[in-house]
Amino acid sequence: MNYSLVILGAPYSTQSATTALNFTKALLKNGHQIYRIFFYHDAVHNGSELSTPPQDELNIPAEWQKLKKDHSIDLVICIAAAVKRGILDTNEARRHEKSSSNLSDCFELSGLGQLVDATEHSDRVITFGP
Amino acid sequence: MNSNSTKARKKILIILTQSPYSGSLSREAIDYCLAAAAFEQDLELLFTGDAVLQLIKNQEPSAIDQKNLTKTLSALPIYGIDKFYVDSNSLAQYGINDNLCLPTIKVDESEISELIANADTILNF
Amino acid sequence: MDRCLKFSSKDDSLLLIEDGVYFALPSTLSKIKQSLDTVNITLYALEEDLVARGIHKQADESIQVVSYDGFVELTATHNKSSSWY
Repeated sequence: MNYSLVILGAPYSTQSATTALNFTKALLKNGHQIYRIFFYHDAVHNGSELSTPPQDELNIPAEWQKLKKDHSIDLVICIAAAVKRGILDTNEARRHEKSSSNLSDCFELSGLGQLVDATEHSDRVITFGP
Repeated sequence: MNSNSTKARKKILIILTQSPYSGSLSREAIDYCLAAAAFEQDLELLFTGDAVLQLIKNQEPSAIDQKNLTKTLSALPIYGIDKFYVDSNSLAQYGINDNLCLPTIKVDESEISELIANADTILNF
Repeated sequence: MDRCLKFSSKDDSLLLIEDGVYFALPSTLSKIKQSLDTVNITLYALEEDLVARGIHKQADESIQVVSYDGFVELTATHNKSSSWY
């Protein structure tokens, strides 16, 4: 079955991102396809390249990056929600004349149209609240 | 549920539960609705719990440096989204029954169950 | 939680996750018993969240404990899901 996930919580602030991560892994293990994972609201922070948790804690952004590398999952971060919160790719950093960017290249910044598209093309859409 | 046809529009129910200005989620929910409207999705909105507070008239959020949510809500009908369901129990809980900023359809628990049962997809903001 | 139950339909399933698993404790569950009795739904709780919180053994016997695999299966066998928080 084709799934899309909508994630709203920032890593480490609530359990949202970790629950979604574990659910994603279970989806893949059970042979389902993931159409898209859309990060909205505070979940845009899951895309930070700079997250540096202590070594004895799960590195949540790195886990998403690993899933991307191993399974080619479409990880999309809402551009408006991200830029507002200081999560920028190189294009947006240049456009807004910021000194640096911090989005991991495993994620794509894009608009809400991607979420609309995901709801149209997925058999199941699961929201992971903030 | 008709999930296999790529041509049939899915009925999408947006369940809103948050108050208007405690954070950005309510605004982000409405931004999504506008995007969905632009793509001509079949959208219905349900305001329940604290979300009924979004519908109070005469809000002036400039007092706290925020944009007026009701202005954005009022734009939705222009884009063809005009099914706004509001939980009558939540309205009663807050003592709000009239003076809402949008034309709404008041629904009770069983009607809400039916809304949920009839939707193809649900998003929760 | 109350609202979530009142809006449910026959044959729905309710999966408790994250702090929601505290409703699996018999004393908390009894507080929503009235709402529960009026609906015909099956209650589940996510094992990992119960274990994390040290209440795995205290979960009410009316609740089915499932792992993430069970979470996935529930979403697959029901035609849609709604997340209450």
